[in-house]
Amino acid sequence: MSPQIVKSVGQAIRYTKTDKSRIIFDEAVIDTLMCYRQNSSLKVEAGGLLLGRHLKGGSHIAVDLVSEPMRGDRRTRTSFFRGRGHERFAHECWHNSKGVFAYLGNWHTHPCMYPLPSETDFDDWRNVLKNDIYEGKNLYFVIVGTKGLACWEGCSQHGKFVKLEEYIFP
Amino acid sequence: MADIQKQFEKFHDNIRLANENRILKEKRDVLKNNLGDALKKNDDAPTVDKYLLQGSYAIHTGINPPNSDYDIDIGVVFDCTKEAFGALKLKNIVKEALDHSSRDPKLKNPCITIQYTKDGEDEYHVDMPVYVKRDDGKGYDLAWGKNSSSEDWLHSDPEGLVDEINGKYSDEDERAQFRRVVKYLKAWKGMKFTAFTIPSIGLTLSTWEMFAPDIDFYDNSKNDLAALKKTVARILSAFRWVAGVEGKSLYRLQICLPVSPRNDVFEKLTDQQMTELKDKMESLLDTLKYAENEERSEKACKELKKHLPDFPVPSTLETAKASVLSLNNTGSSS
Ligand SMILES: [Zn+2]
Repeated sequence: MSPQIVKSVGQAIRYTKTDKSRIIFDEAVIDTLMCYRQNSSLKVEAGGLLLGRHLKGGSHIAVDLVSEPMRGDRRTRTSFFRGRGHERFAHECWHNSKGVFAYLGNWHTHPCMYPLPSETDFDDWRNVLKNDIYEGKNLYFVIVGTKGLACWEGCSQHGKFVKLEEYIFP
Repeated sequence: MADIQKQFEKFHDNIRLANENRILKEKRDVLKNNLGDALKKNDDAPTVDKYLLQGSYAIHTGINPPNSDYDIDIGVVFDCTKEAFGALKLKNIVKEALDHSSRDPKLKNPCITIQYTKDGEDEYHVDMPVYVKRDDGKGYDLAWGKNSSSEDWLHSDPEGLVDEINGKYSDEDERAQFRRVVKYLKAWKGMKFTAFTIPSIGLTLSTWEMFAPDIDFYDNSKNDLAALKKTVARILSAFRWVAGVEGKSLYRLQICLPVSPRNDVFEKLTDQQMTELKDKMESLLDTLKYAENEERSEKACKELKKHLPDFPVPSTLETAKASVLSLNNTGSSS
């Protein structure tokens, strides 16, 4: 499967969830993720949490912001350790938004064009699906390749991961 | 799709001119009494048969004017026919009767206009068309012109127009949505057209002909966004190519009054102005389509605000459900 081509700056990206509603990555989120693309051999792996809203009147999800690499993380060219700071960031967002901004999943980068999850990635995804606390039964996982991103939906009920298709307005 | 009907209703509350606007009703009454008294003193003047409530008041599509210069339309019908007076003679009799230290009535082709000011600012103006009866009883003859070369009697049917417009939708909810859509388009035009004016009657009649209601059959819920979008799309599809000038195509929309004199209500606009109307309406349609697709209400409303003055934008927090406080494990990826 080909990766999503990088959009011109200032465009939200949408994926169709398995329930046919959508997850929307805000243009500012896309811009941030694109900054961490490992498109030069000097750039190390990056990652963080996806945060945003469960929208009213349906089951659309809006990713409004992400946590970015911070103290306590460990970063190399091919690995990323997400430290404790990300939870603190998520809790701050939750409090500041009076309990609206939710934890929706996580993201990290790959130094290749076609992002595919590694066994280490699947281990992390399975672990957080099972042991984290979050709203609903799904978490979303983004891998940022050198050309663009790909998104998987994880379900806590059967522990499966489904790669989502990009959604374009009709 | 974002559900922004609440925002449309709030917008409507902001722009609508309340029908029971007491001040405007008082002004109308004062003017009627003054005119009646003054005409009685003039032995040459015919008697007033009745006054006509016309314009947007009569069809419930009035909006607060952007420059707060309210517009009151009040027609006066005299108990005579056009054989008794010249059009200009009759208009001058009315103009003199209205002349008053605080008023300065002016002759315009279709009416007499009185501009009222408050603290040096235009506060409101009254447009008073002058009619006489017809032998055939079909509408009236309108006294037209402001000088001897433009003077004429024109067959006109203002009551018939009001009846036509108010009578088309028998369903109360559809009629109310039709009136809201007209008000949205009038507010849009007030924001987007400053160099020249699109006649309100043009937008009203375009909507009247092309209106596409959107009310749920089962739960009766209204979708003003969809109704406005479909109506604008229909109006746009009625524009016709008329000419190409220097590589640019020019378009017109022709909408005729449904009553006498049945003229094209856009006839005074040039081809360039009509094409500008089409271009701006296309941009409005693009935004309405985007708003219909956009899942995030605050983003949809922010875009609509660029076309509809002060359209309300919800906060990001009120668009979302509450969530649990998370627990996040650390983890490794590669
Ligand atoms: Zn990975």
